[in-house]
Amino acid sequence: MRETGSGSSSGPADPDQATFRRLIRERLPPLSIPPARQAAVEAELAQLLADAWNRPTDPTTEELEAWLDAQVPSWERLASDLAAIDHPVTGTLRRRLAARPSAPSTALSKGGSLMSGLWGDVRFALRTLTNNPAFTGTALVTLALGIGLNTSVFSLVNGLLLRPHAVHEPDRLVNLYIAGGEGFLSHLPMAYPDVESVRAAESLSGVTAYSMAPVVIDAGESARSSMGALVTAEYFEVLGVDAALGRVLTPGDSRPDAEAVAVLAHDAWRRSFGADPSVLGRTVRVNGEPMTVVGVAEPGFSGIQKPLAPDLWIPMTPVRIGRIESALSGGEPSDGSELPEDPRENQMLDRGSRWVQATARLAPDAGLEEAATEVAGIGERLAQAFPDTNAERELTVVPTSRVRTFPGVDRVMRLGAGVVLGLVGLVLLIACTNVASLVLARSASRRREIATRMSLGAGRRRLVRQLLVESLMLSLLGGAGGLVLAHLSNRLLTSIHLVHFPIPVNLNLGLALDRRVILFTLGAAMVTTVFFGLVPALRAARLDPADGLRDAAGSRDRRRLHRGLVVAQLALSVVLLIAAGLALRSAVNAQRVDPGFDPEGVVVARFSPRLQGYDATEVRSLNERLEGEIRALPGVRSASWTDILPLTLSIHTEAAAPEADWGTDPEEWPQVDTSTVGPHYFEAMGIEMLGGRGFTERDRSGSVPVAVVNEELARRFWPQEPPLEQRLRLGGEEGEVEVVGVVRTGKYRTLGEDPRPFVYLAAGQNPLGSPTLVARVDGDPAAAIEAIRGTVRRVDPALVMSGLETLDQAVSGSLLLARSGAVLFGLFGALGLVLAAVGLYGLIAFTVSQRTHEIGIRMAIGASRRAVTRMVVREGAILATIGLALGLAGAAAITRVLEAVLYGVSPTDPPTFAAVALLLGLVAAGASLAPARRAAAVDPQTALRTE
Amino acid sequence: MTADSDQVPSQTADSIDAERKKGAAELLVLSLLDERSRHGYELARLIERRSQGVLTFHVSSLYTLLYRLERRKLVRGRWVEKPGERRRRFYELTEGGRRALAEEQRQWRALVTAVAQIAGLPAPSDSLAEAGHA
Repeated sequence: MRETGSGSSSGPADPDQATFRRLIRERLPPLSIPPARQAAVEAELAQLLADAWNRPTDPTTEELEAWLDAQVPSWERLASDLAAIDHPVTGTLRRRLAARPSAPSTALSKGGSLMSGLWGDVRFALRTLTNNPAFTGTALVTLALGIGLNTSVFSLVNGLLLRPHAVHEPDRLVNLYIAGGEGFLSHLPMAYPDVESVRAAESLSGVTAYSMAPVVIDAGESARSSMGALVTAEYFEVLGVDAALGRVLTPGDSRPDAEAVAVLAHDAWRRSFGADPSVLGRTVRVNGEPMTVVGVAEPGFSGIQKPLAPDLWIPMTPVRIGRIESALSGGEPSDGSELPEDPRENQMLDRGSRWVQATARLAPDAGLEEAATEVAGIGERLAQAFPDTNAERELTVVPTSRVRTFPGVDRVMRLGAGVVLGLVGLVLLIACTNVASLVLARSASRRREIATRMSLGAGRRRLVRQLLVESLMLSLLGGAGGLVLAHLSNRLLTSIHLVHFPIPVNLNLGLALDRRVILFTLGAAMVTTVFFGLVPALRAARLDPADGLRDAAGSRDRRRLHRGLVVAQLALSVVLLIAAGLALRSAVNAQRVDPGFDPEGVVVARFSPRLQGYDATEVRSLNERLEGEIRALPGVRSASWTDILPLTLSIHTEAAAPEADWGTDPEEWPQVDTSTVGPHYFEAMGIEMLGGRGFTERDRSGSVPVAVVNEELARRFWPQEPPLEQRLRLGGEEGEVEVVGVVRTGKYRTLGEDPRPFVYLAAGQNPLGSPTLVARVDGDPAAAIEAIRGTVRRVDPALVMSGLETLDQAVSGSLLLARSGAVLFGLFGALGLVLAAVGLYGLIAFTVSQRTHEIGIRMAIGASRRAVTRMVVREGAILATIGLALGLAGAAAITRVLEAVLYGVSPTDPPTFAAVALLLGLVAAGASLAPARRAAAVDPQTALRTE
Repeated sequence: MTADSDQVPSQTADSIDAERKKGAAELLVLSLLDERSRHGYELARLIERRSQGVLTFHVSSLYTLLYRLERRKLVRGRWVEKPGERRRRFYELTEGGRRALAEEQRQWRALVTAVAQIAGLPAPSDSLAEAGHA
């Protein structure tokens, strides 16, 4: 006697047990236990039955079955009894179900409880889907792409516009603004003294003012430039935000004699301080001023001005504001020893200067209306008291929960979000159309199955439910795939820096798959189900069983619907493709445009010595040393300084006038862009001199103030005379300069701009606020970048350098719109084309399979294979032509909205339209040719026999 | 207890009420396994023979009973292959099974004694399992 494992059977084959196992497998319903256990049960039962079977061998099937019925009167009952032993609760349910009279527990039956029926439907659906991997795969990929794209875009919109501010009771907060005009400037920032006046409002329990500012944070080992927020001391109290560590700012922190303190953002604490709790009490230098870290704000809180996320919050003082102001403008800061009393030097006293953001919390018993009325009243009183500054000024409140950046900016962002969501919705629509076509084609080929079920008594509602469950399974799986795609794309978006800002800016895009995004995806999946599942399901259920069983030729109706879907799909993808084509041409044009300088082989580096506390003299000598050392580096051909690089979104303008207009009011003078540059700047940048000279070391304070102008300014100011040695004024009487050189006009703000007048001033005669080094190098810029980094570290180890990169990288932001437009539309267009091609192919292939019989007859009565091919291709061609015509017309109407973002290409660019038409024609031909050849290969005899 | 309410129509089913049989089934199987390990069909045959055909089980209820006893860890089953015989699953009593059997025997003895006294039947001399041997 020996034991064997339950799975291995080493003895002689036992036909009895094998027979019984087969009979059991055919009869015993699944027990909801692991497959291995179910197999064990079957083996044990088979052995028992084999032992009990003591009749002669070779029984008739009837004998065997009769005996089996006696031994196991009800297989359902047996299964439910066993299940009840394993699962006491659900087992009871199963027993009740099993006890129902005659319920063959298949998904096809009419009866059954709701839950069991649904579960059956789900299982049946999964089985059907896995049985058709080609259909399921295509549909899933299509849906995942469509839903993923939408989820990804929605999570961006959600992060920027929808997700509530991470503050206490955001509904009880209001933002204060000066009412402005239309559009972008509908709401303006406040003047600080006005905010102080609003504190008197009884409907507000607290008011805080805050302003984003560039900061250099020096924590000892390393300094870096970043973004901070200057806030009044009640900021955290008003917003209801706590500290995760230490404390937040309190009113005491704003007293003039208070210790300088800072609160870190949770993100910055993790990023820059490794989430080290010992950061509390440490001293960091913020813009050169030593400050004690007293706390870390709650995680998730990044201010209430999205998408800007400050690294720290520091109390707002006139000195700190003055230092930042002067560092940005290049002027002399006050030394901080005394508070400037003159409003012109103290922004916190100047009612004329509108620069600060303000938010207030409603008093417990006050409503929005009440606060609005009271604040407006305060505004009116201020207008009377300070007519010089406030006469035209109206104060207004907007619920904070409705503002993300600025009301005017929000409007534009919402509009943009709507456009992009609409576009990606279009892609999803194409995807749905495609899957609907697939489902329709399949439901047609399943007509026999459905008709059989109906004739066996399955109800129509039951069938619709079954088909819908199948669609739902598809779209839920597609939605899950979409979430994964969105997650990946969010990670990608967060990791790449899209725009190069002149100062480092933390963008918190809030890209997270939160509840709202998940709900959106779920909703998209549901809507998708209805779009692609309901119509085919209803149609399938409308089928007359007799009709279906006879397998008559497909209904005309269904084919018309199917054709309509394909035409719609083709038309939509034509629109997307044309948008893609236009964006692509626009990007190519933008790339080709001559910016007026030669970005090849130029390395730039930005510094903020003034923010670090260096004074103007120190900055000048530092710049001279750096320039000298860097110019001496091997491979560096020339080096110079500027305060503003072209095409980097930083602008400085002055009112300017030629001598002839000096008598007029400077307020009426045209604004021209200016920048302050050092000697050899034009060589370093590769800007062509058309006449005169560039700046030299001799252009310093004390010598005659000089300027270099561009050709456009010369043409406008002195149309008839040579510009050299002409004089012009900037800003007013004080800013008189003599023109010593003329350079070629380039691009300064955007690549698409019209020629713009420009004035360069000499760095030796004007302060350089945030100096940017430009160096023209031979050979590999990467090597030069390392050499420059080393030099800066040697000259001044404490100096913070930001944006050490090539000029190409620095100006890449200007190409961003064109490039990202091309990529985005290109992606949508390609996706649309693939989907449309699949759809067309599916339709033609399906039609051919439906018409096999007809084609057989045609061939039997003499149609050639050629004729059959032509007939099938013609159907595809007709659909493609209709779709193309509709698409071209639609595109001509819609691409107009793109005009603003296109560079050097018309929204109805004929070559683009023609190319798309050709491309679509080719794809359509390809998609119909394969099924056409299959049609031509139909054997008439076989085809006729199917009747 | 779910042994036998769908009893096959047979004369024994008529003579002994199904519920009554069901209540006894567990005790019978445990008692038989107390002697030595046995395979399933052997248990069925022994019960039928020793009760002189009064108690029968069809495979469905026998298996359900064995399955439950095994899941409750009162018996342990293992596949055994003997020379010249088919592979069979043998069941033996576990420690828990022995304890359960003792408890069942105590309860039955008490019940039977009480019923016998009241109903005026001759008191059984020993456990029901032994009565089956007669």
